[in-house]
Amino acid sequence: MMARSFHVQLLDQARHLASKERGRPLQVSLRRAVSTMYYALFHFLIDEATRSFIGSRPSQARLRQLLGRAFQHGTMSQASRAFGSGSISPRVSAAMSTSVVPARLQELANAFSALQELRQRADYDRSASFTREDVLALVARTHSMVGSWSSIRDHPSAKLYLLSLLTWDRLRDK
Amino acid sequence: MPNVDPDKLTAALDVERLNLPAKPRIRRIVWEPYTEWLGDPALQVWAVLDDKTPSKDRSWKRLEPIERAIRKALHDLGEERFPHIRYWTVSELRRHRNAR
Repeated sequence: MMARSFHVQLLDQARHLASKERGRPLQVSLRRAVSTMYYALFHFLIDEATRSFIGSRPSQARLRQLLGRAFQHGTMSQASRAFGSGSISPRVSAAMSTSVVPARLQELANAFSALQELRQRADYDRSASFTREDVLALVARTHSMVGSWSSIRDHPSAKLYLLSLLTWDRLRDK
Repeated sequence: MPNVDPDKLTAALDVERLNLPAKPRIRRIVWEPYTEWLGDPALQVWAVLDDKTPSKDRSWKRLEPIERAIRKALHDLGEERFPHIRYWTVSELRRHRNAR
């Protein structure tokens, strides 16, 4: 039986953490769920990016893992903001042969940005509070975003987005 | 670019002006300026749900059209700060504010 993808396992773990207590959930469970959810999307995007750059053969797995270590949260956030807003510089958008960023890609990029900020709050802001319904809705949203990727994976802007996750700080002013 | 006038931002997020779905019912939309972990200015936005909103109406399928409407309204206004949008009931928001 094929092992489930790492990001799928993380999403399942997030749902489990958000649901585990009967009655009122513990904030610590909800916080860990948010953090886990962020890392699910983080690892999903890195996996898609490294497969796009290197290839998906099993023999290339170690090279993908090595390249995956080069991704930085801050760069991924900045790239996601740009694609989420649909505002890409003319030179960069010219490389896509289209200035259109599909709505699904914008939503995915925005979801990543929002989850990243929530993860920061969940892990470091002791004054933040989370609700079970909110967190479960976020899990559903993240599932939806990941599921919609196959419909936009081959769009030029999607490939550029994956490249930007690694290189945005070099690309954005071009 | 300077921030959008707060009154215009509030008006843009008036539930009467946005084309929101009937369910879940959004009582109002409130917002606050916010500084992110990267130090960038942003917005915290709460779409305030009725306390009687059932869990099934808090699924992403139900919330997605609301999120799109809010983002579009802010984009059309020229607001550049990233909106972090949350969906809390009246009571959840009250508890959050009382805890501060």
